[in-house]
Amino acid sequence: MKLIEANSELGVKILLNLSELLLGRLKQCNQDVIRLTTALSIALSK
Amino acid sequence: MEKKQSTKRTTPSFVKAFSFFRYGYQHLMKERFFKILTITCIIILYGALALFFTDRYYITKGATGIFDALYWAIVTIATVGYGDIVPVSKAGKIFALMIILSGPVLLSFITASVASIFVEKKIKEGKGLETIRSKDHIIICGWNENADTVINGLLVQLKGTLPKIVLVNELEEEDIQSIQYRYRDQDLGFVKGNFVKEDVLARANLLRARAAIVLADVSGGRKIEKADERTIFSSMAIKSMAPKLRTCAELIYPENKEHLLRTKVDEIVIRGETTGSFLATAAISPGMGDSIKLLVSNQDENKLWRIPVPAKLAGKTISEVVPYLRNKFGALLLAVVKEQESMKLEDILSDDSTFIDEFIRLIAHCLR
Repeated sequence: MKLIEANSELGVKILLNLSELLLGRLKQCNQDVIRLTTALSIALSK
Repeated sequence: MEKKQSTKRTTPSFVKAFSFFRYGYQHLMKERFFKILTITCIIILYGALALFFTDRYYITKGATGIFDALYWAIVTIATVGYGDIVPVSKAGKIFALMIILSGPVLLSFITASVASIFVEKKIKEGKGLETIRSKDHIIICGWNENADTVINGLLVQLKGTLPKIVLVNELEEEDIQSIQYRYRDQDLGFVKGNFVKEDVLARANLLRARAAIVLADVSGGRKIEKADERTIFSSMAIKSMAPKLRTCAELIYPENKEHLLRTKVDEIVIRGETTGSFLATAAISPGMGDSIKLLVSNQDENKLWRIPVPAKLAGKTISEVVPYLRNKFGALLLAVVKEQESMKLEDILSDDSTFIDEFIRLIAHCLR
């Protein structure tokens, strides 16, 4: 955090990369939840 | 869609020829034809070599050599005997006698083996014991008084391009002959047996069929009251053997519909299901019943047809589609049918295999 406060330009880039990474994982997680719930509903319907 | 439409789906003649040759080959293998043929060839070669080596000075009109000796052996064993080449020495004559005596016996074996292919095939076809080898055919399981209407319906709707129709039932031989005579211009196959059994359905080449129709069966002296049980069992057998095969079944009692639905047949027709509504329509709206009957009967040419939506009409409105169909086919659009296949577990797998995909595959495997 000290680095980010000291060098705001670099800090923005680091936080942007981190947020992109987290967002990608969140999206993947969402898709996995949808797939698993769909699989569960198909399995229960059989 | 009210129009005439035909789809071109016939088995190519070279496929039929190949199928027949394969059948002939298998039959000949069973008949030990190739052993007899080998013995004949050995005797021909042996006789030719014997004549060539023991009788080098035999009388011939042309050149003398191993080819002439072979020619003499074949001419002699085939009982042709031109007489242009003749053995002169005693040893040569003894070998000639052996060939002359063994020739007719071996040749008669070969001729009989080849002739038996045709005879056996014909007998098996007549008795319904033949295995169907064609593909893209329509199987009709069972027989009742409506079966003729079903066949006529297929003939009318697939006019000119009708695939082979295979009947699977337990009718007597004379009944089958009578049916085959009625439809002598059509490609009609027959498999005798209980269509509830998988081996009988396999003989009808179910896996390569285009569609299967299960009728309320009364063949083999069975009673119509018990027909629904057999319809349900056979539908189960068909769907377990070929899940994607389009299967239509006829029911006698509506209360059995739930059981038949569990077998996942594609369409169920209950006998007399529409009688009540037809009578009501006839009473309230005179002429309406007759119009509907005409549309679904085999006699009228203005029929209900289903055609795939042409690619260039995709996304267009009904008002744009109607004039196109009227001009192109002289058809009247009645309805747009959309079919959606139910989603399967395999459909939700991603391209790259992850732990979740493995887990879904495991569930799919357990459910099978």
